[in-house]
Parts: sequence; C-alpha cells; structure tokens
Amino acid sequence: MTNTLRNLHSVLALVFFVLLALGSKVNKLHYGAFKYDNIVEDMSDTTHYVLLTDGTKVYGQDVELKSSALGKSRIVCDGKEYSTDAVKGYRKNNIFYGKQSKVDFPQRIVRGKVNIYVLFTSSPITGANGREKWYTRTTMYSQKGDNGPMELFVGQNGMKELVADCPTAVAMVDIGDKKLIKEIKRDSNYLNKAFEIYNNDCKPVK
Amino acid sequence: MGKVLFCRQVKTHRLVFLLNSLVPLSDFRMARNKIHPRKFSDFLINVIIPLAMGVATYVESDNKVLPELVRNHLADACWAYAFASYLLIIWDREIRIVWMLAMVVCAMGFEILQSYHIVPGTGDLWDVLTYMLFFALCFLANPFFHSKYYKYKP
Repeated sequence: MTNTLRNLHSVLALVFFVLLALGSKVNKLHYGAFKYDNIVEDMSDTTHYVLLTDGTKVYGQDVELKSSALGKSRIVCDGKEYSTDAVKGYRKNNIFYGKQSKVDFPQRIVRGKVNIYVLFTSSPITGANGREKWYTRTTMYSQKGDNGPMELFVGQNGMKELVADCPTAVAMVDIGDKKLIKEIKRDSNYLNKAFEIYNNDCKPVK
Repeated sequence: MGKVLFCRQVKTHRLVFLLNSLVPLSDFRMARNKIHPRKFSDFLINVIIPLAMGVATYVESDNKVLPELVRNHLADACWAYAFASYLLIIWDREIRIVWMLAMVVCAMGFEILQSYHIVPGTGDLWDVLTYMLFFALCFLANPFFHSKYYKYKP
C-alpha cells in the first residue's frame, strides 16, 4: 500500500470513528422536556398499593421501593416485602411506578393507549473546570396499554413512531429541535399534550 | 568440529540471503501487499472485537446488573482502543505522529463540543481520561503486536 493510500485510509478511519461516536443513540429528551407532576392516575382509587403480576392490588398505608447494597430490590408495603419479580408496579400517593427492570421503576406521566414513563437517575460528572457536579439523567419509556413491555425512546423520531397514526400528534412532535424547545419553553405540558391527544383518539384535550 | 559448524551456519545464512534476493516477492511479501492473514488477525483482535464489545456494552447500558463503571465507560474505552489500533494497523503498526495527534484531537474535540452542547451528549472529563488511558494502552501493546504480526520471520 502506498503512503497516499494509507493517508486516505487514515482519513476514512477518522471519519468512520467520528461518525460512530456521533451516531450513538444519545438521549435528546433532557430534564424538563415533559411535565412530570401531572396527575394522571385514577383519583377515586386508594392511593397506596402494590400491583402484583397477576393483576391483584395489595392496598396499604405506605409503599416503598427498597434497594440493598447488592442491588437486589424489593417493594415493602406496610412492612410486608414483595420481590420485584412478583410485581408489575406500585402506587404511592398520586404517582404510579411501573416495573421496567428488577431495579428500575419509572414514574408514569401520561396514561392511556400509550403510557409514558420517566426515570430519573443522578450520577456525578466532572466538568471542564475539574469540579464535580450531579447530572440528572432522564430516561423515557413508552408502553402500549397497561400490559405491554416498556420500551426506551430517546428523541423526536421515537415519539413520532409512537403517535404515527394520529396526524395532529405527529404535527406537534415532528417540528425540529429548535422549534420544539421553543414550544416546550412556552408550554411545559406541550409533549404531554401530544400524547394526551393521541390517547384521546386524536381529538383535542382541554 | 567448531569450524565445520561455523561454515555450515554461514552457508545457511548465505542460502537464505540468496533465496530472498532471487525471490524478492516471496509468499509473505506478496500477501503483505494484499491483506495478509496476520494483518487480518490483528484487525480482528484489536478493532472488530473491541468495537463489538463496545456496541454490546452500549446496547446493555441500561442493564443495572453491570457495574456502573462498565456501563458508563467501557463503550468509550473500546471505541478509543479500536480507533487507535485501526490507525496503527493502517501504518503496519508504525507510529505516525500526525495521525495519532489527529485521533487525540478528534476524541477531545468531541467531548468539548458535547460540553458546549454543539453535539448531543454530555461532556465529561472522565470520558476524556478514559480515551487517553485506552489510547495509551494501545500504544503500550503496539510493540507486542508489531513483533507478532509485522516482523518477517523466515
């Protein structure tokens, strides 16, 4: 191989590895993209319960997700422990937490044909000035119906696929990054609304 | 006896030299002009396998069973190692400063652009340290792979 070819090959290698880094699926739905404190659960139901995999609800005065140092989590309802294998989720006050994995229980923020969940995880990062700061990572999951699997979505394309059969909702999410950020600044409930419209058979919601 | 052995060794060396000059494009040399199996092995071990490992870690980054250090940095580490190895393999594992600098600039530039939100992601000094550590690891392993795959052994 001549040096010219090798130089060309090296340029292509640089381009390939940079594209590989750029092409990684980065979460574009940062903290604040959705409104997280909307009440979406049925308020007539008792506010604390554990939902078991067979659909049974075990009501109690207090429900907590507890994690041990070995990473084994369990749900404690009025002192009684439930393995995370045996539960589908739990409700504490007005928030329902669905099981995504044995240790992750994201919070449901939109409920209907498509459920939207958010999981917050904090991890330390070191900035350019060398100072450590905490970064809150928001991971978004969708679920078709209450029994479907939870699937990760990371950006506008993911949202577009979820609401594909509702043109009104598609028009709301398929508007480009900059415009979407402006809309969210104007109305913090903007993305929740797109899914609420979808869940309302593509009709506007109040 | 010693004199006979010495003469035989000299004759053998002369014979190898003569054969090499008579057949300058021996199988080994001809293959090096294409893709030699040794070079392919080097590419497989140091580029394809690390990249595959990086992709697997990346796909499983939400799997809480993996330790946090692995989930956060192994994909970056594999990317850096494969990147450095690829550039070294192109140049038959001879270090070309310009390309090595270009690689470091790319890796650091990527994190800087992330910290200024020009490219998606979060700029993190630990990521930069991971890149540097695995670039260094690749350079440390370079003499070994160079002698294993690129030195002509008759």
